[in-house]
Amino acid sequence: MTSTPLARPTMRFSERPLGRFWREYSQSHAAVFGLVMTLILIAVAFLAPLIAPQDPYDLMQVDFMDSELPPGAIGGAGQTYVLGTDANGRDMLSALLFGLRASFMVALSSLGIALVFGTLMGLVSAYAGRWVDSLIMRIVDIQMSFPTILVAMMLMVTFGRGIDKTIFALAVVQWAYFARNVRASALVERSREYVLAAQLAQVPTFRILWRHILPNCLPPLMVIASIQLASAVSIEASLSFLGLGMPVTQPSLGMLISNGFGYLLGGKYWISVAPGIALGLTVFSLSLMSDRLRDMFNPRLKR
Amino acid sequence: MNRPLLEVRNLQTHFLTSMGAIRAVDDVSFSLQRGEVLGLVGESGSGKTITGYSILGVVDEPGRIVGGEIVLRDTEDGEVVLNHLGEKQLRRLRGNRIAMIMQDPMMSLNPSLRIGTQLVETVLAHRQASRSEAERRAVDVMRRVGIPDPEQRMQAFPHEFSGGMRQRVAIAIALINEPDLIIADEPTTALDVTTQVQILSEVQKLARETGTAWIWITHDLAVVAGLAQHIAVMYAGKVVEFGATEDLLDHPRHPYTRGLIASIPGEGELAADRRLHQIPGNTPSLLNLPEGCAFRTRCDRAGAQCDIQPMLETSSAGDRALRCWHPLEGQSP
Amino acid sequence: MTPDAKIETLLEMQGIEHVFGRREDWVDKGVRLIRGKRTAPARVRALNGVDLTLGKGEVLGIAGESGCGKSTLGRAMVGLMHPTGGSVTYRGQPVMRGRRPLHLKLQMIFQDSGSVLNPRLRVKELIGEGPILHGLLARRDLEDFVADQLETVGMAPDVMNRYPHQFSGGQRQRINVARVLALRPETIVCDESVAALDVSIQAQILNLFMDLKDRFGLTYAFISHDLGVLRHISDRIMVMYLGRVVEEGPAAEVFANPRHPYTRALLENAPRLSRRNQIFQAVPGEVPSPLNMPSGCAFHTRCALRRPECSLSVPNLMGTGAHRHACPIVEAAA
Repeated sequence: MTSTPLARPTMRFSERPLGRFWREYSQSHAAVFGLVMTLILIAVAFLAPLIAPQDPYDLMQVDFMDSELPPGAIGGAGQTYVLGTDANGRDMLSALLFGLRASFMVALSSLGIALVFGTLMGLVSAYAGRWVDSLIMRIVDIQMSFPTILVAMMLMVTFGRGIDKTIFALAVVQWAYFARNVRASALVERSREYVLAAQLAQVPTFRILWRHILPNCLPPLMVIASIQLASAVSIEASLSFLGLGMPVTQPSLGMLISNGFGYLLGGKYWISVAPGIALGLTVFSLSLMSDRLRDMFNPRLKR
Repeated sequence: MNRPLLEVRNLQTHFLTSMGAIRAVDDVSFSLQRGEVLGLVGESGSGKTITGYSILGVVDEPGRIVGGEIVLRDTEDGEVVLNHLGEKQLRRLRGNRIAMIMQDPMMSLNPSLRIGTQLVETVLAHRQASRSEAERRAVDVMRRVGIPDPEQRMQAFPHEFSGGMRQRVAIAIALINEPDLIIADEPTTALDVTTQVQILSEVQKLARETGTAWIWITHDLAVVAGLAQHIAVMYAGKVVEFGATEDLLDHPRHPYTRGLIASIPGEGELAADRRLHQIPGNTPSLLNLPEGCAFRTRCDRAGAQCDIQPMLETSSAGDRALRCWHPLEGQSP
Repeated sequence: MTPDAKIETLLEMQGIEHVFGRREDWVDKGVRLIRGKRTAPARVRALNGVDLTLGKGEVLGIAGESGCGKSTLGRAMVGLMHPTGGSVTYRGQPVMRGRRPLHLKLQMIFQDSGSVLNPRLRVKELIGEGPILHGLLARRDLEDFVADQLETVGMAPDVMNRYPHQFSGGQRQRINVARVLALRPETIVCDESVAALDVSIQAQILNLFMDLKDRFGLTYAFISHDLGVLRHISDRIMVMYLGRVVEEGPAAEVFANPRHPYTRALLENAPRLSRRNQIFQAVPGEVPSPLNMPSGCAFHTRCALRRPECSLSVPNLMGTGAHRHACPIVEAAA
């Protein structure tokens, strides 16, 4: 054995995987904007209880006398309603922040469940092959042959509204995308030389899946995840807008838009428009991000 | 001796990246007579392909020709400096007076058009000819590159051809307008030995018959040993040695050329210990080249003088050029 | 060096056949008939009765063009796939148990295509994974062990914390060799292991292979399309064409005196450094598709010595001693 003193990892950030990723990602300014916006939106959503001017669910804080005030109006207690108030005198900025929080919470948790379950199914499908593969993939095919929103609506109608049920419905309509994608990349990775080499080194199957195949399936998975996050946010908004999603006690962006809908023609545009813009901005930022990721992992666009 | 068809003088093609200028081609000079085959030999990263792209004017961003001249002459001794031409004028020359063949023929063939259409369009893009005339020409050139039943094969799509046949089609497209110069970039590297020999034998015949000059870019000295009249050896963006094939291979004077020749396995007498001569070290990164002669860190003859970049010295006869402070005295490898 | 009785046989293959694709079951057949196709789809016969022995300490070269089945043969050798016919044994034991390879002593080095090393693992994880799993190495000795392995293949130990993309093709192949050596193999099957490398780097790796053979007493099966490489490295050589062995024998003898018309075509026409301004003479035609094999001798469609009887029956290997070939026409003329 040599006793050479070994250099500890002194790699620069730009040479590590994350650094290389960032160097490439940041070549698009729009994508950086998308990422920054998404991070800001997520941050304000989850900090909503700390930064919102009032707790829109606490009836003690809501002054009914201040209802339907336009943006920038001063309320009875002397406070400024930056985005105005709704029909119940609720501060729209606070409602919006809490609504954003509800939307993100539902979208992210459903995404997490769909991702883990879908990835697992995809890996099993690719590695087991034969009838297991056929079975899982036929379920995926059937699932994907129905319009997403239709399946989600049917589930919500069957089980009734509620946070957990919305998360469940969104997870059900999303897992198939992950399963199909992971299976496709895992099949490609499985035939690569390093996996064959691991088989020859008699690395156990589970370890081959976990340590060799899965990490190399992650890049395309990230693309799907970012696209699905945008889609989860908008499906949830659609469900809530239709009154099928979140409960009335925890309004998300979709429900806020729906609440203000009746006042739109009465000139009280802000009740719908503010959450509408927030929703649009969220989906837009997420799309900028996912577009960039997709381009980065598309070998045809590589020069 | 006639004035050469192509003269490349001190060509420099650099890639200006965020990590600094990559001098992919740095001071490359050579010349080529009409009807001659020149082997442009080098390992990966030596700049041989970029040299070819520079002549055609198809270097991609952020690459740019930053110095030197590429002079193309016609039969009346009229000259054009290719790197001074605009894109429109270059396009008129490409596929007409200069053509290119790539390692992967699918890069230059359109997968959704019939072979015949692609050949005919290449003619019509540069010639005043009727369709039937162009078709006659296409059939004729396909026969000349050794494609059987050219009339029927005109109707086929690229994917219906084998790898060797596709490369023949690419050669046919390159040849169809009887260019003065064809630049072939590793055209037989991906092919099997027997197919490779078929293509080489067709090319050899064509080079004799047509008077087209070829630049054959390759990493394989054995191929150009049989095919080329002259060989230019490139290392790290520079031509390090140039000479007539026989002279250069029998009496290499640059230590790199000698090392390259001796590294080829299975040539001549086998060493008893089954060891090849090896050049130590790795090809240096173009971003981080040693000062002076780029080969000096791998060279067993390097001395203090090698810290200064040697010039490409052309022999008095003009048929041999060398870039080295401590050349070998023309001995056998 | 010829394999004689005194040399221990390590790997033995008998009557290896391999057909790609699944045999039709009755459901497939029904579907096909409903769609109006009368003939069963052709299946690719990649290997067709290949016998092979590999003696301890020898270097066996396996030559052939694409589609000759040499890579499939290589994978069957190490137990990465089950051939559809024939037996593969290593030291008398089958090379596979179920769907998995059985012998750690039998390893393979692939062509450097950029995916021989898992891009997500550091060099020390790549080299150390196998030995730790098999108890050859304690985790706390990992860095010393990896440093040692890297030195064996001529690399500095301080690269162990880097990722594969930070190396050139030649360096990656060295790391891959270090990874395989860490498993303490006895026999290594090399499938086009130097094909993607530059000439000067290829020479380094070939020398490394020979150094390691001397140092660890390794046995190699070297699969390559490059006859120069095989001439340099092999003790014994096998030439394959469309899934069959057409000639085999001691390398020096086969290269000096090739018998089969295909071997002669390969050797006599291939570009060589010593052949200046040669007139290239080509074998006509292309390798037939393995989906549609010629009857009899598979080479008869391209052969200059072709006789009518060549398309009738498949010739077996013939000739005296270790140098054998599969051409009755040549044999009759001799």
